[in-house]
Amino acid sequence: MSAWPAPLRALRWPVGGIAGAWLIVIVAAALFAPLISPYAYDAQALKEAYGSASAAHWLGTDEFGRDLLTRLMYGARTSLSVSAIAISLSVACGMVLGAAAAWFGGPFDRTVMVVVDLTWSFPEILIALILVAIIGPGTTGTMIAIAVAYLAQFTRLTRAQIMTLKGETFIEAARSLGAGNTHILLRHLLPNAFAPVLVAAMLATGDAIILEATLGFFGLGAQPPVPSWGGMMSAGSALVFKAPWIIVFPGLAVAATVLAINLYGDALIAELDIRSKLRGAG
Amino acid sequence: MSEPLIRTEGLTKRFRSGGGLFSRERVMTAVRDVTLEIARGEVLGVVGESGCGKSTLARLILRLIETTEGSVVFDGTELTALPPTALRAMRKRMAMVFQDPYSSLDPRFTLAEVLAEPFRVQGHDLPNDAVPAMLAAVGLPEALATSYPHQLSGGQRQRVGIARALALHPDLVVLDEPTASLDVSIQAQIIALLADLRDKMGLTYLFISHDLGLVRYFCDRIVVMYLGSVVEVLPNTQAAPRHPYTDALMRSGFAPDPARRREIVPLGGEIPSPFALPAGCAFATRCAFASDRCRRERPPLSQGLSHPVACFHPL
Repeated sequence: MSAWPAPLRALRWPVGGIAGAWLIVIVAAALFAPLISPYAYDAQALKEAYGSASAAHWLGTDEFGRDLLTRLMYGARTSLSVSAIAISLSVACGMVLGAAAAWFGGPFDRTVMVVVDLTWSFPEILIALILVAIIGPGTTGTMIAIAVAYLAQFTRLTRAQIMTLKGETFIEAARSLGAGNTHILLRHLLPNAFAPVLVAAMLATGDAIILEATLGFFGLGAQPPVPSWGGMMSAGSALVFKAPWIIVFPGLAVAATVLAINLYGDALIAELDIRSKLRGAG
Repeated sequence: MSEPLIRTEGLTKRFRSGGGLFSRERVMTAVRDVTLEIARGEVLGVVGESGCGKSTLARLILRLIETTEGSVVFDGTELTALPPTALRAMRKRMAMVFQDPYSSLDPRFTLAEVLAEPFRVQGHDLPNDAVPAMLAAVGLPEALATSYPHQLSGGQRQRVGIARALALHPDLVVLDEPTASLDVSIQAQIIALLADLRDKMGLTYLFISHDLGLVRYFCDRIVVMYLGSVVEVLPNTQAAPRHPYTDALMRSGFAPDPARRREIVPLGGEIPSPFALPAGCAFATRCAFASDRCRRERPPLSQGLSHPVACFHPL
């Protein structure tokens, strides 16, 4: 049982299992949208516009008669890929910066932390708008804006982890055996710092989906006709009384996915936490 | 007498703290002017209360921290001036067992990985039977090789720490309170194991402890430290103490035999701050025999008596 990696063990928890199942469904829908979606995402059928749920359109249609289920699946593709790529980018940069800051200390550490804290103090919307002005609208700008928004969090977390770990006796023990800096950093410090960063990244992906939807709502993400959950809600907001399903279903998708990520993240925290295991054993 | 394995000369360590924008720099003297020798095959004990600098001394001798002044000669090589690459290679000849068996092992390493690390960092090939042999040498079953440290008891972990220290057959092993965080029954097992390994492998030990009873049982010679300085070097475990501090340390031990119970007189007075060491003898503030001279001048470690004692009024 303990031979399984922690992300799989987390699925054995009741809540973690349900949340994990939903995430698998959403990720599968996003990955295989072109194969399993009933229509094309931009197939218009103006006569069927504003249709509510029916046998032909399970979740109804939007103002152009496009199938909502299809657009939700393609929207998942946009939302999940933008969030995941942005957070991966943020984690990669944050871990390198944080580890370097903690390792070298002194003026380098202070400079990195000031710059990183500056990025924290800019509103994400402002960063996204600046990027749109520079590189034009599209998902690249959104990704970079989200990555910058979370950079400070991962840098600070990694830095704090490495600072604490540096004082551990097993680091001194490795040094007493003749270990060099590279060995200590790559074999002891980063692997031990990774688990908390992984969980933080997981939870941040949930937040990033909301942020992506927010930016999409303001028209800063994927450009029509490519669907994103935020863009769909934006279109539906004008029609909330005439055809409420246009805004409700993408809203539910965002809420359920973010909730599932948080619940699964909690199960993962419990599975990854070496110290709580230690308490259980002692 | 043959060349000692270790010789320190005037070893001193001062730590600086503060000195930024908001505080005045303060200098703390952790180890002051320590000169000692460790002979090959000897078990040298270092005792003193917490904060007296005995762990710092151990780390200075292994150059895990840099010295402020003085020198450490290991088997003819000056360690304090050794370039980093040569120092790392030299580390296979000296090892350390740490006080806390819970934090001295990486929680993400299996025991096999812990025991392979000394070979790995020194660029040696790991012989196939090395890990089982190392586990057997410290009395652990081979099956534990795939376990993680959190699955082990404190005593078992300390055995792993000892096996790791001995992996490359070092000449010198520094034992930094190796039994201080273990149950008494386990302490005895660990001490017996250490004694056994010393006989088998011909090791030299520097044994750091605050437990004078344990040190008297295990060591050949005993160095007594007070506030960073050596106050007395007992040449054997039977020698009567000449320094008032050693005497007080010995009197404060509990006797296991109730018939021999006596009143324990606690030491009065305050330990001076290591940030502001007194000009004279550091122990003078708590010593019943202290004279004006003790408060003015620092007594040197005199060689004229039966053994080295740093006191103007030896017992």
